[in-house]
Amino acid sequence: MQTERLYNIVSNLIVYILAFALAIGLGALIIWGFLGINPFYSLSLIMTTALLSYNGLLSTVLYLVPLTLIGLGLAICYKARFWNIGADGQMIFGAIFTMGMALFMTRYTYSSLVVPLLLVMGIIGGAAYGLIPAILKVKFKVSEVLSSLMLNFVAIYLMTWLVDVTGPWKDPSSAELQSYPLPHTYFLPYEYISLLAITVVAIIIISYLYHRTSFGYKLKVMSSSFQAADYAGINKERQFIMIGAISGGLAGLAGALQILAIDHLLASTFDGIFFGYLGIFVAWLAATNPVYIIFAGLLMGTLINGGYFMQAISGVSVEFVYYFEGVVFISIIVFQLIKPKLRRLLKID
Amino acid sequence: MERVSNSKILIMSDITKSFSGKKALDQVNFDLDRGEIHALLGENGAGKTTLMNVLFGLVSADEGKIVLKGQEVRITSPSEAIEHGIGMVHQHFSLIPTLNVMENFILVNVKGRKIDIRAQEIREIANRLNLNINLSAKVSTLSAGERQRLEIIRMLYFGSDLIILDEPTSVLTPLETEGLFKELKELAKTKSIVFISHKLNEVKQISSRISVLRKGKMVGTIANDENATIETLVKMMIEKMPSVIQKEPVEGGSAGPLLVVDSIRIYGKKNEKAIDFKPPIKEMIIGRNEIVGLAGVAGNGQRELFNGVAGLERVHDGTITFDGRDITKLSIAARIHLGIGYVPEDRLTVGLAPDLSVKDNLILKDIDKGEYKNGFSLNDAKLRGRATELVKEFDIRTQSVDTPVRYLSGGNLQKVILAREISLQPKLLLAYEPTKGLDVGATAFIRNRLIEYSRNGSVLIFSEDLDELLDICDRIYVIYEGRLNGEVRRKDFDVYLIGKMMGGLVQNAN
Ligand SMILES: Nc1ncnc2c1ncn2[C@@H]1O[C@H](COP(=O)(O)OP(=O)(O)O)[C@@H](O)[C@H]1O
Ligand SMILES: [Mg+2]
Repeated sequence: MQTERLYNIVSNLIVYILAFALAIGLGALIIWGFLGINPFYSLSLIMTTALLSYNGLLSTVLYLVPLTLIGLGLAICYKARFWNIGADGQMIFGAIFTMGMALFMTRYTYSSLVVPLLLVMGIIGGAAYGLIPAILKVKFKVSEVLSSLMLNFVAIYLMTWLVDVTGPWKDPSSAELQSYPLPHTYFLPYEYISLLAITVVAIIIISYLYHRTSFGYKLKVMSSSFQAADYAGINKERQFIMIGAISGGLAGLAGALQILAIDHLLASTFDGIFFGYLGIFVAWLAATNPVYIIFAGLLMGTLINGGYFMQAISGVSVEFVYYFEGVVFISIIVFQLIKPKLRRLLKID
Repeated sequence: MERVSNSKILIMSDITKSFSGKKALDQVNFDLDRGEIHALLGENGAGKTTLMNVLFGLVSADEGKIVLKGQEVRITSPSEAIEHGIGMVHQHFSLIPTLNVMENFILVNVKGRKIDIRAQEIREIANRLNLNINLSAKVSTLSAGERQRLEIIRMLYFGSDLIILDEPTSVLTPLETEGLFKELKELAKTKSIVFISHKLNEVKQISSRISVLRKGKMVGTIANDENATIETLVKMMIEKMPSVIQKEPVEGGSAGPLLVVDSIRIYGKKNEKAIDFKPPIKEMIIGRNEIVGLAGVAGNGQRELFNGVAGLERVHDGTITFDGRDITKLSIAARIHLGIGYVPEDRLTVGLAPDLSVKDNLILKDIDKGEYKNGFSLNDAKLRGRATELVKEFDIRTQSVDTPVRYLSGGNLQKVILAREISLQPKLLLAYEPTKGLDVGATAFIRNRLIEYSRNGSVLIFSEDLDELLDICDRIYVIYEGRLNGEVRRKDFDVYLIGKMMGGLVQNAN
């Protein structure tokens, strides 16, 4: 089994390197050919700004954290072949719950328990929202792909309504469509350290659930064979419900952190880059392995954050990052097909 | 170019292959004459499949040389093998279940032949083989036996002149096997055939030469003549043979019946009645400590009946009473808890989670038990300990308890399932073809286990091998077209009577 494992690691590595090389190569051609901009300069900007400068690195963290949390939850969903694409809506719902609770409490009090309470509200909001497609699937056999996608739109409209001109949370003193601001005492303290700590704790908890509990064990059985899960008397419905709640909760936590550490208010432009969808890519890139998620999150975070710097400095639009993501996604699928050939080249069977 | 003068179509020499440091093949020599049927005999895990996978380009050998039609070749993929005129029918099926039969043929393009011609050719091959196929049936709706037939036809259709059949009869009924043998003998006039099997009588019947593999080593190749007796072959094949335990007969039960399946009806996929128990025999009753056999040709409702009792299939009408309780509507988990164990037909996707380790599969049904938990966590040390014990007790041959089960051979897969089910000490064990495809050693082992087990519990066993049922059962029910067509007690066992009942020719109401 040692060689098998080694083979898997090596061949996956090769697949990923090829995919990235292709995306970078094609991207460089486009930048150079169509825009006439030096591609190596602009591409290297992504790295130097997002990873090698102090301020750049800090803002990379702000992308890394939600991407990792969402990717983690989706990884669990996809293990059980529960095709949740509603992390976006779940994140928004987490943010709404957090903001709602914060607005409600500003009328009353401050205590050191406020921030933890607001985080829990975010988790509850996301989990509740994540439960809906799971329940619809279990009770009424509604495809989770459809229901979770539709719920994303519902969440966006609800959020927009809350902060709309006549919305209940709209701050009349602001020209933008946004809520009353969060009081300073409700901000996440030591924001960068706290964000990273919360992310690491989430990874540890999910890895523990996956590797050490009967919930995780059943997930593995389901990922290998639904029929075997049925045969063993595993309650798949219950698993789906838990998965819906857990992944929704993680997305909701991402939403809460976005409010408490970064935005400090709820605006109609919340989640403008669609973290919930990018999270699908993160989960998938990490091959749904909880421990690899943070690296995939880091990669994606670097690309996005670096992309903004690249746009500002070299004039290559940030949309280039999404092109990049797409090419990598497709080429990984294609390169997976050549794995059997690699197997023979490496002489591992 | 081919050198016709050479009588050997194939010479494989000094083939060595290791998996993770363990030698699956060790300096194996094998050759094939033109127009012979050469049997490759050996226990499960002996390396038969691996040797032929090397030839078919599925496994690359570490060492060794292959000379095909007089020329040294390197075959690195099945498509290359097919180009060389090698065809292989695998032990595990390689058809695409969501496509229909015809589409499975079209998948591999054979020199631009037209589709309608193909259909004609396929029908001809099928008719010659006396194998019925419905070209527009979806493969997923076919039984295991039908899929196997289809594989054989498909390969003949590719025009191979060197044909490898990996345990082809393991899914065929005796009648189909006879037909296949006839056709193989016909085929051998123009083609060369490697026939992999662990069934001695088949090997004796069909082959001109026999090569025996044992634990990765070639024990020898002998001509199939009067010197090649069953005893000689068994000695070549296995080191020591387990002796067979006899079942102590039980008549009825003292504490009342354990299982009563009464007037049930189960609808199949196409809404036809797969099971419909009605008079004269509307009940199937299993007493305590009884081994009850279910005889019948595959596809007469056995699968649905077993799944119905285990809870995997919905019972639409009638009642199932287990240990005095109506379980007709209970969940699978509840039935497991009440003491129903199940060795299902499909080992690798129903009975086992293929990607999980031997350990994880052995503890599949223990996972929610308090004794294996430390608070919220699973007690890994204890689960591992239990798995290790079972591996030893049931002589499961695996590199380690962490090996994914999909790497195990058929006999060992079955041992993993049986070890798990028996160790849970159910009151009733449902065993669907428990020894199908297994070698003599593993078969004897599993039968002995079932007989030993019947001292504490009851067994309902379905087997297409009537001799097996006659050997170990106290009573036999015959199933035909979804209903019970006869019930025979041990003292009245009669092969011909049961055979007739299996064909629906006679009925008895006891
Ligand atoms: N892909 C593989 N990886 C690891 N071990 C394997 C693999 N294929 C076969 N084996 C091992 O090689 C041995 C021979 O297996 P096999 O050729 O399938 O035996 P047979 O066909 O005679 O039953 C067994 O111990 C089996 O577990
Ligand atoms: Mg084999």
